[in-house]
Amino acid sequence: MSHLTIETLARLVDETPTAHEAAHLELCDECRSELEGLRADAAALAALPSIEPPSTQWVALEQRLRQEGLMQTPVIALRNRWWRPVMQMAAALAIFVLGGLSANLMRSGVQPADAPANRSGATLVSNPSTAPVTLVDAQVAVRTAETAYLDALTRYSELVGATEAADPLARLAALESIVLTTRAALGQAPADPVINGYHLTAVAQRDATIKRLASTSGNQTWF
Amino acid sequence: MTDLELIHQAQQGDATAMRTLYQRHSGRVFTVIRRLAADDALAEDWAQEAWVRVFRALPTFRGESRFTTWLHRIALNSALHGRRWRERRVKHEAPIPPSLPAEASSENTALRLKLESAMERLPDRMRQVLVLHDIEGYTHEEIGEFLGVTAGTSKSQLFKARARMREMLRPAQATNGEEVCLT
Repeated sequence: MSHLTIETLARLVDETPTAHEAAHLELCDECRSELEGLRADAAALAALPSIEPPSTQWVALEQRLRQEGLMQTPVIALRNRWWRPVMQMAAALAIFVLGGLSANLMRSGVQPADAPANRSGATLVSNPSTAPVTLVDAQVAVRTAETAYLDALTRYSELVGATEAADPLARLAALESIVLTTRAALGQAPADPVINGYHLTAVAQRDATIKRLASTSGNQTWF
Repeated sequence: MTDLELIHQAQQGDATAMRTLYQRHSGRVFTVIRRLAADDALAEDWAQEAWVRVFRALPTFRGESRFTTWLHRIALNSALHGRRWRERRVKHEAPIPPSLPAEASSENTALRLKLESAMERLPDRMRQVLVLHDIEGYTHEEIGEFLGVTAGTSKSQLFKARARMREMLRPAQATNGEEVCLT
């Protein structure tokens, strides 16, 4: 008995078999089983979840939209500039905290592993003249800082091996659940910094886990 | 706030409305583009291009079709006729990765990874048709229109794609020794 070809079976996933094909399927366990496999593949494909864009995509897009003049740049810039002293105080506080941390590290003889990142962070906050002038600048600064924070966190996790979970697939599944939840929450409160923070952290950790899975399986393109 | 209200504000260049629209729909847009591109960097490029096209064209959106349909079409056009197709790294020759451990708690994740990985190994045209038909639910006529081919060609590519996917996804034990229906 000659079997149905795999492409014929692929057609029968969603088309009606001819009388000859139906008769063959009636008698042939192997072809029937292959058809069931094809149908299961199609069902699994249809049920694939969505893929989250990278957390940095909006920042890049926003810059481009502004460059092209498609997005208005608010020039309200907080009339009384009440925030300037606040920013300066925050900068001073950051210098104090970073200075204290550095002193403690030096006392304990431990060298900061990510010294360049720390230096750039300190430079950012220690110069009040670079403080954002408009609300948009401030938003961009916050997002840039978020990205730098997430990069540093990912690097830190790699160094301490904190993300070497026993079951990376289970971790990935859990992180995907968190991403879906925080994404839904962002739909309700798009500008909420706390929810944005959770979302960005979850997305970064999920991406890092996927990369780790890809590297351990020898496949660079899994996601 | 509804999409239509956001669109009205975004048409005036309102940053918050634009961001909200992006956040609402970026997942779906990125998903289809990423699957068509089969490459992270390329997908990011095309997704950004798609969104720029969307916001450029937004003043002409009159609400005659659903926003999601309109948006999706722009995304597909960006991906299917995007730049740098030729620059895309060729990965189809890469071997199928070994099966991932499929513990009960993460079976779905393992299956998803295998499906995505197998799809990435399909030739571009087969993958496009598979994604558009079996995942996105477009008809062969619509796919033919997108790709500039006949509905019959779309069907033929789909059946080939499904067959390749089956070969890649078939459990190891079934291919050990016994050939099943591959004539």
